[in-house]
Amino acid sequence: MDFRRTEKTWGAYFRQGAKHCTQAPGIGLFAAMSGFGALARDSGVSLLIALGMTGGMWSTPGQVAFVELFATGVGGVALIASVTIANVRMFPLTIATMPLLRKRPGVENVHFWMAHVNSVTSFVQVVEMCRHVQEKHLRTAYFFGFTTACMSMGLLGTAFGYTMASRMPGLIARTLMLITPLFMLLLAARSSQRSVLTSVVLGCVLVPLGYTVSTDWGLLTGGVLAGTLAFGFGRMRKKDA
Amino acid sequence: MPDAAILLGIAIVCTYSWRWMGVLIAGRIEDDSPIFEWVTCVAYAIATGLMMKIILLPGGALAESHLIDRLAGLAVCVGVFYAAGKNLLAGLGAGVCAFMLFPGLRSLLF
Repeated sequence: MDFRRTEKTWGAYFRQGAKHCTQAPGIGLFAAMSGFGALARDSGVSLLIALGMTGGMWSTPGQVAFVELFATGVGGVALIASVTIANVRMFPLTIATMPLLRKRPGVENVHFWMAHVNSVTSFVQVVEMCRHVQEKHLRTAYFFGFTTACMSMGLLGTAFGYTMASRMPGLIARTLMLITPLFMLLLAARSSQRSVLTSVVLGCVLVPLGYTVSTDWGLLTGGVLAGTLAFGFGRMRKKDA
Repeated sequence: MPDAAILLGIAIVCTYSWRWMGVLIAGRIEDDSPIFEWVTCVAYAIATGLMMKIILLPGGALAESHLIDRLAGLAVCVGVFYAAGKNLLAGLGAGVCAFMLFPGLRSLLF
């Protein structure tokens, strides 16, 4: 990917960021969000609520947890707690992203907006971009171009999946619903961290198991238990080494 | 069950609070400290566990498909992903095709 532009302006880097998003990252995002749209439609929430989730939460695990739990009719407290913990990744993600983009240490108002439009996809892209672009204002321009395009692809994908799910034959609609789970599993499998891969394996066993015990709290307790065990194994390995 | 719009409002505020806290403490804390490793582990476990739950125990329209077809889709998806050098779109495309074709293939073979 070509990150440098000869024209060192805000606009040129904004456009370059937007252009990069329409390649592989944007296609993946569109596919994942159309899957989410189909799941949302199936769970019985309105299109406006589904779009509100994509634009307002902007974090796939929480969005999917919301529609899954909403469909089974769990209590409000269990739903909010599960969604909040499912989105906890946004906390370390923001902490890792900010130093790459801000001009000087300290908090500016624009950082709060940056944090909202940021995502795992954008963070991966930003890390790569920062190896080629040193000027902080150009990094910001690229980031906003990339994330604006990502958000647009996400909203379009949500609307597409939601409307198509009811207008397509059953097999196609079901296939749409399978896209998000497959996409998210692969996204996690791309990680090179051993403790993350252990979390994935344990989560894939303990969360469905927890869900069969309690539809309200199984997702949350199974996930926290699996993650904590994986973290503990990782610590033990480091001590032995 | 409260209204979906009210739940959505609360969920947005709760999700944003993670980002907001991140902005406030970014730079004041090492991002390789153990607490972040734990947070990352929990986040990945809950996200991928939820996705596996949808594949194994789906609700709604996806429940009309057979478990064996969904597992075939998953197996092909993961297999092609690794065979293609961790290529996400290749794995996803192959998995989706396998899920669509497997019911027909099953009826031909068995």
